[in-house]
Amino acid sequence: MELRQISLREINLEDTRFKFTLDKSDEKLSFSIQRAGLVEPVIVKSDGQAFILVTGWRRVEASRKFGLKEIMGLVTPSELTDLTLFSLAFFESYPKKNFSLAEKALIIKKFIEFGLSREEIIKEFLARLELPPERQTVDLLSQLACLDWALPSIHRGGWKLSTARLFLTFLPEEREAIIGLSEAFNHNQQAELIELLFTLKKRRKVGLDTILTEEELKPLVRAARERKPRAGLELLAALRERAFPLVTEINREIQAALRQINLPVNSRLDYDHSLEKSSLSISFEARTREEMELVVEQLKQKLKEGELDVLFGLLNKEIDE
Amino acid sequence: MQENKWIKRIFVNRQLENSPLVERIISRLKPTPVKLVDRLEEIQAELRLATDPIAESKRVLFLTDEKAFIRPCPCSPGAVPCGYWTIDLNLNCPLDCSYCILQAYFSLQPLTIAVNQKDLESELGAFLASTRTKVLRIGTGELGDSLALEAISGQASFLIDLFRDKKGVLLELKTKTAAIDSLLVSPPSENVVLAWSLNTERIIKMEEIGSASLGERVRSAERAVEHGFKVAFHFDPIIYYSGWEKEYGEVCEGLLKKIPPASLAWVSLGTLRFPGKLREIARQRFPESLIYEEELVRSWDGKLRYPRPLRLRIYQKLGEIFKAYGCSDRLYLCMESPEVWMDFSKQNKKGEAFSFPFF
Repeated sequence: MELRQISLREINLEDTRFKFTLDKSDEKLSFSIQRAGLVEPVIVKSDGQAFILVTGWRRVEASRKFGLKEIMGLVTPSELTDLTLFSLAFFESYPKKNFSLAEKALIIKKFIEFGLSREEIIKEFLARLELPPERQTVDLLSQLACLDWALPSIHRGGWKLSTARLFLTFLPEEREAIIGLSEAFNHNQQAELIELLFTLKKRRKVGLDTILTEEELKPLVRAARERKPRAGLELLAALRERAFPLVTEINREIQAALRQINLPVNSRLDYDHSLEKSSLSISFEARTREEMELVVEQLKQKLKEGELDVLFGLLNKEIDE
Repeated sequence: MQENKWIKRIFVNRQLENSPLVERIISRLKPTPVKLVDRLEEIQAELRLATDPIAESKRVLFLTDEKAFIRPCPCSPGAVPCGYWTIDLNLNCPLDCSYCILQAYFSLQPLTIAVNQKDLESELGAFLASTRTKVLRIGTGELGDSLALEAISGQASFLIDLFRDKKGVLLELKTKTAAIDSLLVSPPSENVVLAWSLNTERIIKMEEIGSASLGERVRSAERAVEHGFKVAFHFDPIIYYSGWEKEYGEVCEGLLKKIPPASLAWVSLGTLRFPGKLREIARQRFPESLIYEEELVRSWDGKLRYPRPLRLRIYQKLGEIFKAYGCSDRLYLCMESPEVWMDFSKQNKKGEAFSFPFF
């Protein structure tokens, strides 16, 4: 490879055939280039008229931002195939970067486009990308990589394979709706959102639109799309209520009953919100024996008066259906 | 030669090429192609390339040896155990039930038959000599159906003969098939229990691909009883759906009208439960199945289950039917919490193996 100064204007950034990273230029890189210039040369391929970037997208972006005219670049020999060059790009990043699922999807798709067989990808790359080394992984990620409009969100959302798998079961317009909502949620919440929407859609045998335009959900969906504070949390809570009606209903009754109970000061009543356990726990703080005796006495009195009976009844509630 | 409904290829551990059982199985499956391999990984490398590796693993037979066979049934941590032991002579199952835990438990495991039966004989001898339990229950249905490959392997017949004279131990062969003909050739054994997993016809049709119908299973159980075997039933997993109460009730009633209590060894009840990983796999493999979309909560052992009040309701409803037929003492709950056990049976058996009062 030939090391030489390359004019940034000579690089054709519209040719993204070797690009699979989705990170934007960050503060650290900007600061580094601002202070020391571009230390590590990019790798380019010449197509006779311009250079095609093989590695260094973020570096070029940051260099342009700081008004550099030229940067150091390694020009690859013309006999190297695109597959070899893409492998070069991949292996340059592989030891340094934890690829997101969206990036892994792009890597797999591009390897296939450059002529690597699915068998080779399964054998050589999937385990190293921390993915199940099976054909269906290749198929799923190839499908995901085709949704280039959604990849930046999937990348930012830090999706796992299981979330992507569910996402791909939605119709195209439903996928757009989900991506439109996703920015209101953090990583784990995005996974939960998709899980809940999948469950409700399948359970009710309706389209996603029917769920999201439900009277009570509509304003929450709108607020989430507008990324209003807490909108995501409120929408998730509303969806959970719909996905877990029995547990929600009993918890609601317990919470209502708890509000009627005046526990001694410094004491706290708790229970298993999943309702797996039917027991109550009461904890309290006391600095002296007298304080403790007082709390115990008050609790005994409440038990005697049957004030907690309603809670035991709800935690042992028998259902009709 | 037996009818071969499932197996498309046979792999043989090269070291066991000349085993009489290997030869017998291959001849029963002729003309299925046979390939010698040195390692399981060679088969797995092929399974990886399948569009559905789990389905493919059910069509590939591996004849090999196993190092050990007997182990305690891996009950959920925190659940009330029933003291069951398993014999893992076969791994994986040709049936394809949407709820089957083996989908998540195994990774690229072909249908596997262990052909080193002699090793099991010696392991069993040592195991029984060291076990102090009064009545020991042991079975093969944990990592595969006990009878689905019987026509090919003859493993169940071998086990019945092996256990015939063993005192204080009950061998259970558990199946969703009706493949008991070969077991009715020899005299019954007092300590062998033939067992069927039962479900409603709706669930069998939708979720238990390749299994026998409800009618075929019950009829097989009747034949086993007529022959002199004791029988057992496992309502597991019980699936909640609109109409469950009526349909499960009909299955229980229909069964109890046909099977005399004296022949009924035990009946287990267990509602649907699974680790999250299984749902991920099954949603992909069985997109039409709705069983994973009901209200399921993460429970004490990390598995997803129906909420406790619903599970209890299900157990109590079915329990009432068995009670009406005088068989409630045969019931036990599989992988349930002490809380649910306590409410179901009004006895807290935490930390103890479930004792079977009828033996």
